[in-house]
Amino acid sequence: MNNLEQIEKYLFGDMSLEEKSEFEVQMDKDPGLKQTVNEYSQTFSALKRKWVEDGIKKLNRIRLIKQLAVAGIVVIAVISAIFAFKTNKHHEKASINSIDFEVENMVENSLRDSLYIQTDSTVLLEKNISQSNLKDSSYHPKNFAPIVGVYQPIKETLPTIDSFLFNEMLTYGEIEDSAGAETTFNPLIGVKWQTFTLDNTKNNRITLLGGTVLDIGSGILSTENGENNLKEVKLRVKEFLNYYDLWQEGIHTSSNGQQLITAGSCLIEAESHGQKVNVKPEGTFTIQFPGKENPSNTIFYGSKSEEKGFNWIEGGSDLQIFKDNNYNNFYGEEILDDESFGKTKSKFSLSDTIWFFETEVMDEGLMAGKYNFHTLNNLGVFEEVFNPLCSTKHIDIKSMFLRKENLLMRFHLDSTGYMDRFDYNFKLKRKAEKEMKKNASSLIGNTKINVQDFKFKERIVNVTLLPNFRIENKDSILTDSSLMEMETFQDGRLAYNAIVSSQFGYINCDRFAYYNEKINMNVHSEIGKLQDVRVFFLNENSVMNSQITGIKASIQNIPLDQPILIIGINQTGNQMFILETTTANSVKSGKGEAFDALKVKNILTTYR
Amino acid sequence: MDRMNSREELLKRIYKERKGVIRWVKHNSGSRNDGEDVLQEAIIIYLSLLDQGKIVDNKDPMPMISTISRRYWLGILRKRKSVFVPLESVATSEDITVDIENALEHESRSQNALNAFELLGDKCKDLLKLFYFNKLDMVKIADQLGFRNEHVARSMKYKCLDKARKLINDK
Repeated sequence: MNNLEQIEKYLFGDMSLEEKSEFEVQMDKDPGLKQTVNEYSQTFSALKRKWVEDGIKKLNRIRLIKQLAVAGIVVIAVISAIFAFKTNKHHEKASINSIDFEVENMVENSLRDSLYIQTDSTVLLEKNISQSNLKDSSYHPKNFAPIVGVYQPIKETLPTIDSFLFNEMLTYGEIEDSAGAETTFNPLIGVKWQTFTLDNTKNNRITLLGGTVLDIGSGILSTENGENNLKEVKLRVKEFLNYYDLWQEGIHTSSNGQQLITAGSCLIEAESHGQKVNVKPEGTFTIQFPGKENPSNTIFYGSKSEEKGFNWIEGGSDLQIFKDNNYNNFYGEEILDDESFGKTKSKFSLSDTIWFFETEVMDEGLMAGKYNFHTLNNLGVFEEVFNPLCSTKHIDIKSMFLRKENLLMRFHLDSTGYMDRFDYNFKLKRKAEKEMKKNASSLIGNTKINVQDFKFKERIVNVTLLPNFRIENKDSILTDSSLMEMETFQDGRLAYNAIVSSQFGYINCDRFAYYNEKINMNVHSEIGKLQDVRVFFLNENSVMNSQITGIKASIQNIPLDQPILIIGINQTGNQMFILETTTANSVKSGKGEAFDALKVKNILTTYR
Repeated sequence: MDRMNSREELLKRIYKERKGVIRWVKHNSGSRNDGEDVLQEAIIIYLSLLDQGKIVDNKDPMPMISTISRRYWLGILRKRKSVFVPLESVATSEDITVDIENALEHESRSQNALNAFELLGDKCKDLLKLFYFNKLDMVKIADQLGFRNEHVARSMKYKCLDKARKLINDK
């Protein structure tokens, strides 16, 4: 038995009387031991105090929330009676193609305000809002999703959908860490620019972080003043590969009100010596977006103005589309043979829908963090984020997206005392059929780390990271390694949708969404103006914005049988609401159900 | 059931019954905040006594919590010299009185120590809390925190404890 075990037994009264007196004699003889015992005693004392303090804080918060919930139940019960009455009155007017939601703020200035939704055309809702069924209703406060977190505004302005969703993705229902302390985040908003300096006299191939590939041929660029003899051109690009990126940029996927499904989009700008640069009138360049190929995809150009907002316009019939599934064409040997990754190639199949990621990072024997990420949906958004016991408080989710050949990770660890940041970026290489086992290296902040056992299988990638991030010699032999395992599902094929563009700016590889049956939806707010309401299609890479007039937001042509999120902000009440639902697979006559399982996913009114 | 009753559960039980203690403090020259502080202090002492095997965990911790709370609060009042309160007014057996006094004396209230604790890795904090406070056994902890097995978790626990000791006592 080592000293520490003995000390622990002694301090916790787990020793027999004999053992105890023997240990005390030992302490008397050994002042060092006595000192150590005292130190551990102080340690346990401090730990206990911390846990009790945190525990009581947590219980205080739970008590507060319960009190508010009780207040909410009382109010909603009263209001439900009123709406039940209203609903009966509205039945006669029910229409197949129009469904109204009414959003009402019941309790102002509380942590959780009640949200009330009414539609006059769904039987489901009609049942739920009757007083007798209230307790089983999904609108009953007890059935509301838990508050996802206290929104921490960065500026004294209304929260935006972007910042909220970022926050939500990070927290995903977890407001407290294991010790009961509140967890706050500083969302990083905005899609980052990627910048490059091109030589216009040569062919340029640019592989962006998200996997988008630009092929810009020699001499095709000129300034807007018509200067053709350009050599050095500074190019910057933003990639929008999923709806999260689109939110961040404040754009959507609709063209003149028609829904689009995007396979990827980007914003490209260029300049040379202070002059704006674009593609020459007769020139074109190619953009390849990684993703499942779809022959219906075509090019759209985006325009953004303060008066008209944002819109995508179809690029025109003269622009051809081609697909190329042979990614070797897109990757020169110079990339595959990058010394950092070794020369062995490996085939790597993955889907863009679901993956699992788990890692333990160890630092000098102390656990720095464990991450459980499950289930990316097909838009690259996590369904579940992490274990509540996860020590990481800041995770840049955006950099966790698995985008075909790039897996970017960025952990901000705050716990080890040695490291508060972990940036890691490696490219998944694929060519050969067999596993690859090769050292690789990357940078963590300013510290070089190595990756060992870099293995690709058909569906599993095992990467063993160095346990000690301060080792700089990549040939170091490691004995205590941690494992990062990523499992992909199915055999999603890697493919590119390639489009030819004749200009820079907002460029989108899209197709129109065709659905047989659609409905229109109106969202009403009874407590003031709506600021922003958007519909996010969870099974498609698609975001629709709404037409807002005061307290009413209209969203046209919502396809049936689609899981959607309706997210909005009420300006007056500072209320942000999220409704999660699936549109029914058919619209019945009269009072047919147009929405299945409409439920309040979230209501936030915590902004103050 | 895990090794012992979870301290978290115990805390919930005490919290539920806290009003009596707070009321008593308020009736004895204290504020509500004083009452809450006293309760917190009493819980810490109670847990220490429990951990040291000086008292037995039973289903109703409140009598002992009340006793400790009163002793603690009366001690504070005496220090403030605002009120003369004979300690005998709190009826307690002699043995446990000594234990309570010792524990009151011994408890570290150093804010530095608590701040130092914040420097400990979250994984370590979780591990120590699950073991010493939530009283989970090592197999469950290993499972919950994702260690390979309980041996790794146990070894890590000692490393974490040692690190905590260094952080707290170096302050």
